[in-house]
Amino acid sequence: MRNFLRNSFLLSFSLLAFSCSKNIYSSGGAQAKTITASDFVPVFPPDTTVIYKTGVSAYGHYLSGLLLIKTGKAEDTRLIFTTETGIKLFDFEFVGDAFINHYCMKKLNKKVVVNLLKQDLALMLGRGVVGKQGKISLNDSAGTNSISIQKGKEARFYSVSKDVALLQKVKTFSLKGKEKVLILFQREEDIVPSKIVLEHSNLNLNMKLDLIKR
Amino acid sequence: MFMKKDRLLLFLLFLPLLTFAQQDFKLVSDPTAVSKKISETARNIHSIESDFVQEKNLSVIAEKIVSKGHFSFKKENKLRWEYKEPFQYLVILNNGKIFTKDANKENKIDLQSNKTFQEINNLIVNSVEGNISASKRFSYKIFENSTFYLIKLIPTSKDVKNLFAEIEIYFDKKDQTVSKVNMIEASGDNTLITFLNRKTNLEIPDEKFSTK
Repeated sequence: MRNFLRNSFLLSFSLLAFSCSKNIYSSGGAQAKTITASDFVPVFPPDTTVIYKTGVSAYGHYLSGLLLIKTGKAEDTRLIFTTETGIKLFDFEFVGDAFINHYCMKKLNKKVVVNLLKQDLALMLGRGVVGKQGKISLNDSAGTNSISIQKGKEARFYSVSKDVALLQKVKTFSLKGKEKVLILFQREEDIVPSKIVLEHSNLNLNMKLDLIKR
Repeated sequence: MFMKKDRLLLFLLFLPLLTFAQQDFKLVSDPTAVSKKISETARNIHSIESDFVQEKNLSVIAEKIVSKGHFSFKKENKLRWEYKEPFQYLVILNNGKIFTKDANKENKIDLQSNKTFQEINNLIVNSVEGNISASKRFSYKIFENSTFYLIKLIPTSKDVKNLFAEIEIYFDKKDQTVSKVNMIEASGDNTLITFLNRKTNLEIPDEKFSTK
């Protein structure tokens, strides 16, 4: 898997061919526009409840459990992570622009950990794309559109399928071009991803999610 | 589709039944005698093999998260939980060590380094071995109905209070073995584990509890 991710990254990186010496976001040729729902389909449709068997590896430690993702009518999303044996580890919610920490196990409930989880989960859910200013460029060889957005000191690239705008890959970089996070989405028949892999380049942290069919 | 008013009416109609179900259990008059009875029975149990069904109730979803598997216990201090549906997961607790295995990874944890896990392990082992008054980190009350002795454990230690508001252990009156465990969180969410097809004192090889 690691080799696969590394190869995917190298291939994508060579295709992107961005200069590391410039602002990675501003170097693209496309004109910025407001990203619409037809450019970017939500990863989880409204009123959806899914559960993923989830493994998190961080600095030599491994934690596994079940991640419940429940979306509401708008983009609001509840995420509850429990161990397989039922012990709740966290219960977070995104409501509009707000983030609510309903519960977090004492050992995890540290600002730096919660913020990191918040950022990773928001990125994985594809939050903060629709309605933002971004650039869309076509990658004909891969059959995808690449949506690039600058958020603070970070450039985000979302690869979506050309036909139905389903998210396939997310990559984030510092503005100087240093890769930070890579997320890959795999689907079978449904639009809900059957597998999600998230890897940090600058942190020893990754997550693997496998959809539990119920 | 029910209107909110209809739901409220239905709830009020069924409330007496729910209350009755709660009241079905009454405090036992002699908790020391019951505790002794359970401990004595447990003393003669050297192993347990059982299937289990785990139901996780979360208030945010109406549907329960159900998982099923097989449970094994062997004296002293050896537990094996093997989740088979809808995911594969194995957890073995053996004399202060935890071994877990899922599709991605095997993991070993030393219980000494994790107070919370240690407390949960002690709770499970004490329940199975019938030592219901063994932990100083819980206060307890014993109830009964025609089928079960129900022991309600209220955590007194901070570590466990963070996880659970109350733990209910149901002992079958027929054989005084654990039939159900219900772990209730402060939020009201709970995890109910029901043991099915229980068989006691079968020979279980030690290899089944290997943490290597």
